[in-house]
Amino acid sequence: MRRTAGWRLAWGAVAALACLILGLALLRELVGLAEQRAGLTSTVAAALGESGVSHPPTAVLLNFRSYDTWLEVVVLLAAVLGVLSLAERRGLSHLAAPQEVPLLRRLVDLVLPLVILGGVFLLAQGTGAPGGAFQAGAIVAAGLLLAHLAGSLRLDRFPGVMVVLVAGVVAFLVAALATLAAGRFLLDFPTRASYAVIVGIEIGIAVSTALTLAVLVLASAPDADGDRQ
Amino acid sequence: VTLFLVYGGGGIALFVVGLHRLITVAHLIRKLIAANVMAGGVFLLLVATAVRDAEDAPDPVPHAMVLTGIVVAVGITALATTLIRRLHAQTGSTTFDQPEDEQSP
Repeated sequence: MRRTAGWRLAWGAVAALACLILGLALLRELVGLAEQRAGLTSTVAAALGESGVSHPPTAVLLNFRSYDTWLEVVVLLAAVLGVLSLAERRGLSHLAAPQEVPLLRRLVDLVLPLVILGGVFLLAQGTGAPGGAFQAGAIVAAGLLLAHLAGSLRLDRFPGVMVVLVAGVVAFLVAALATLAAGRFLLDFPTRASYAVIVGIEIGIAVSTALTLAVLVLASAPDADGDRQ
Repeated sequence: VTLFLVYGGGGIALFVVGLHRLITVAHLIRKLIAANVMAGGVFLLLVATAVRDAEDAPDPVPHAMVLTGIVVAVGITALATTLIRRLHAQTGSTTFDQPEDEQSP
């Protein structure tokens, strides 16, 4: 279908008008929302004691609304599986090849332990302060990417990549089955065990998020030898 | 309350501008960027609703939803990028329109 310039202009104008009306309607609702005070701050604060952690967003993410976070991890897994099966060079064995630069490699070898330490720190303090599994995973993913591209750590030669990719989903699945087996509701952790359960799930999420993000970037990168047109 | 209106209004503005771009441009990478701008607007609005009054403690539930949303947006962006690259590799086109006549398939 060929589109003329006039047709495009008219369509743009109609779309702009519709978006403007939508924006004004949303603004009107926003003003109404500003006067409402009903939030969930006090509800969360009241239940924080039985969540096992002291940082409210972590309590929401990994205890009160943990099914949400579980599905989030499933979305990441689905995305990485989709990318791996759709990329022109399929599968883990064809991740973008590293560049051999000795100086770069030495530098990355120095930086990588610090990056991982930063990730572990974020993960460790996530139960009581801003931080947590996804943030830790994102930082370690950047370190893994650097290490792979500098050639000091080949992700495609790393055994058990698929096992690590599903670690977050599996950690949640184990916790969910355990709560069901104990006769509780799905992912309803007993207060005494919830700290350990949450930390366990967070470690699984952090490890699989780190590798997932690194693989997502590498698998969708263009071929190093530039054979595509 | 004024600050809530500024950030919330900014979020709505980003959402609407992104939506307009999404439905008017043809290039799929541009559509993807527009969708990400829309997502940014939604996140900004959600974070703004967490603190409607500076005296209240922030509401952790919208924060958690935004954290979830950011990760999902990253996954969607990566998958969409791969799909677009695949489309380009197979048809030479970066839009959903039919390939132009002068181009070889």
